[in-house]
Amino acid sequence: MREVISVNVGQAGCQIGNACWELYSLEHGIRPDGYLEEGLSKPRGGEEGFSTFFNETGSGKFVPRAVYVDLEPNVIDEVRTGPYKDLFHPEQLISGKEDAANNYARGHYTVGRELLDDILDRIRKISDQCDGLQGFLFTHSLGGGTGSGLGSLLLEQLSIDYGKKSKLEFAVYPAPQVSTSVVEPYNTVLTTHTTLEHADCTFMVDNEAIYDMCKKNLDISRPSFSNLNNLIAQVVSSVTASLRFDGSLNVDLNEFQTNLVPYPRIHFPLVSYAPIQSKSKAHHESNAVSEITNACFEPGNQMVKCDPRTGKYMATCLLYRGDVVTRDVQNAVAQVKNKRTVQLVDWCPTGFKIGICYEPPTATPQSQLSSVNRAVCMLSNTTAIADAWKRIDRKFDLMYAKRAFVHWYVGEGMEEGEFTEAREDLAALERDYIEVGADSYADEEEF
Amino acid sequence: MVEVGDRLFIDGHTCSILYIGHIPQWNDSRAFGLEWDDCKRGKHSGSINGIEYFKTRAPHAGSFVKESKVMVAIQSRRSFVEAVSDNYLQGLETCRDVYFGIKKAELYGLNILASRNRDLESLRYMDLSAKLIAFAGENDDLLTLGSRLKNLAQLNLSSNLFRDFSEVLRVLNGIPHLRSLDISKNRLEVPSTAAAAEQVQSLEELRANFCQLSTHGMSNILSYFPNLKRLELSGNYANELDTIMFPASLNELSITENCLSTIPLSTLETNITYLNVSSNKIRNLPLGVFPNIKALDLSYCCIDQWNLIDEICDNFPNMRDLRINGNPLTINESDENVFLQLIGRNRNITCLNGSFLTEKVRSDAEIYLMSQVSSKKANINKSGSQWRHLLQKHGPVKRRVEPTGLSAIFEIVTLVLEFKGNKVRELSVLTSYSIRYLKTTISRALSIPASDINLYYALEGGTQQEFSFEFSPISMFNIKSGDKIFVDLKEA
Repeated sequence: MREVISVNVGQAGCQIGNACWELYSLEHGIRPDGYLEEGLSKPRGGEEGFSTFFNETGSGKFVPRAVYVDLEPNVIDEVRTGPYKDLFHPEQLISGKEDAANNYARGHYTVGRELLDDILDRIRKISDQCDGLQGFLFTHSLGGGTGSGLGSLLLEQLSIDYGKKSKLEFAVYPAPQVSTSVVEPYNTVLTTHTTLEHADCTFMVDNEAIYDMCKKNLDISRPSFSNLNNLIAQVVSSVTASLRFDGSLNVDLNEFQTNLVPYPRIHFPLVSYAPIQSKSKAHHESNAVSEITNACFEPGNQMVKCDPRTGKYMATCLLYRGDVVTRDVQNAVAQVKNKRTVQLVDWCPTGFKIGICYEPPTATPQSQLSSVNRAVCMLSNTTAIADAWKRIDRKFDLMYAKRAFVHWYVGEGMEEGEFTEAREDLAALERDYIEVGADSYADEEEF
Repeated sequence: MVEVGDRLFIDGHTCSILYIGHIPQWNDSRAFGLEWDDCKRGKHSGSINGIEYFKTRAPHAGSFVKESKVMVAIQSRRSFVEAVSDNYLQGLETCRDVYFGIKKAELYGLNILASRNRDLESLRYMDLSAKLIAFAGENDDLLTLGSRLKNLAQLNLSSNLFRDFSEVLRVLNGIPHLRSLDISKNRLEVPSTAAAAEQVQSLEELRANFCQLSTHGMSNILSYFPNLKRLELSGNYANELDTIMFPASLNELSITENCLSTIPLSTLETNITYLNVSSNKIRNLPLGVFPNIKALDLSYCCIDQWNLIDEICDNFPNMRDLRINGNPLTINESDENVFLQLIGRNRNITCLNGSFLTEKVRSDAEIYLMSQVSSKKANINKSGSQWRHLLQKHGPVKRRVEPTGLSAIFEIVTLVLEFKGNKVRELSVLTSYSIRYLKTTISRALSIPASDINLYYALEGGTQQEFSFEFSPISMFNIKSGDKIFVDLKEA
């Protein structure tokens, strides 16, 4: 029994959570009311894998091991009244009355802290239903107030309460295309600083990258948040597929860490997913194993905008899903090796792992994605992702040089010193990435 | 045996044989005239030195090759049975390890995968695309294989070398519960319609994209599969489908990248709920109401009239999901305008070009459309049901007649001054004057210091009211040309 509790914080977190649980229920054959689909005697995915994410009650109902947390009631009210309202126990949905107003300090210190005991209490109740808790899976945004402030607060608290249980994050990285506030860089830097030592592995999802995928690959002229979230859910689902179904690689949360994280601070793997194609264009693609593998190395299929060719890979996991044949996988990898420049750091003995999960992906009806029999998801810890930090740091510096909007944070009782402290930490992170990318053999010609 | 029409795979490209014989350039060998599927691979269209040996369908897609090359390609063709055993029944070969630098690519779970794949009895999907399959195989082998594939639901045979449809049928007949078949990118010849015994009852989904099927070929193929629910016929050569009988069970139909000029009327009487006709040359719509269609994809067609959009609203009353991007109509105008007008002109859709519409967006768009119509920037049929719907929902548009040009800003009123009960003179002023400036002007006209006078204007009942706000413009006080202004001396 290796249970995982999902914690969805803030508007983005809750909405992505919704999209994910909808997909999970479809994949496992659970109806929106929590009971099994007709014709199934047990959920798809095998007892072991399935029980990591769902809890079976005495009456044969399946309840997600999840908590929804938001400081304002609107988004969670949508869950409470939406099609999946019966899937969750009311106690799993926690909302406050006063929102965080895009302010990290409100989420972390003032408004958020009032809700903290309540949330921890509910999480404790869910964890009491687990035989052997593996850890937690967070979904939140970095730019919003609740996601960044309360999210980091919860991660800190869970570190204290649950010791060394793994904590994985899916974090939405802010983008100008779908921005809701100007202080997103502040929130991002502050929350990254706080969670850097508490989260074990953070999968970043850049809204800009997702937005571009919706426009280009899915041919959606005006992507809305629900379009973005459906796509993110598909990615989250394939990252967690090996936890939920029989898989061969990354079958528990610890394994993500051991496979992908060589240093505790360098824990931001780049996620790529293929195929991303719309229903109406599906007939153009054959989705051969070699094609989707190749696509994973294309910048257009990455969840964060950066150029891996400029960086080095510390670790790479290719996770295939669905109908594949051994020989095709072997050929595809050989092809990648021949065609692509994949530079791996020299100090790490292993680096390129390939795993298979035998259950094919599912597409929700409204996701615009074509349903396919196979997909591949690549998790790679590359130094190129430092680009994302550079971008956000520069935006932070522009505003902080003039101390713009800092009074909002100070007004909530935060000290200004925390800004400088956080910024220095991120600068150190950038340096760390340069350092791990450098060859370990010293240049012989210079002394 | 090689025949004209056979399919081959030579040097990484698929092609069909169109000519077998001798050409003067090659004395020693038979020449094979080929048409490549990838027309960039070709050298000519079947003619050399003015002699036409064959004619390719796509221009410049043909070339000649020598017999030796063709014979190698013939040898490499396989049967379905062989392909299955090659790809699914082989053990885990000791294959070459792949190294990135000094690091080995480690593969996990391949043993389990191979053993799962070897277990044909429980296999649900089988992908044999691009495996050089040209025939089904021996009857006995097919029978034994078929009896093992009892759970197989989906079979992908795309990009193979099938030519004869009866070979595909032989494959299908062996598999009892096949629900989905992909035969895309095979150049199939389907000579005739099916006899009742030949029909494949179990099949629910068929993909036959890029098969060079004409309308006739499609109609023949469909006769074999009476219980289809999903059908894809994209990238073929159909120019009209009005004669085709679609199976009554059909739910989803994709027929993109054909040569259709309108939405086929044959879909009218069917139960199709999803219709994808994108990338056709559709310019107009057929007369008739399609009550069953819930989702329609008309993207990348040739629609260039707004009144077609209005027709769509009337003719597809239950459609919720519309895609119409990439048409001349939507490309030529600004994004914002097109998006809002499309929503405003169709009260049924909840999803446009993949974006979900909220009620707020909808009502904004409707009001936008109404304002565009009333200012003559857009046209809509005023007696149509959509306009009636809009009027009912938002009420009629009232437009103030606004003066245009300079006079809108510089409105001049002529006021009549009365001093101590007598009409003194007329005064023309701009309405943008402040009351204080008006006072100064009057004081100059009457040669009385401005500080000594009070100004009044007449209310509707005739009572006099003092101008209260010194710094307000005259326009604030609802004063028209010809109105009287009363001037009084302040009491000492």
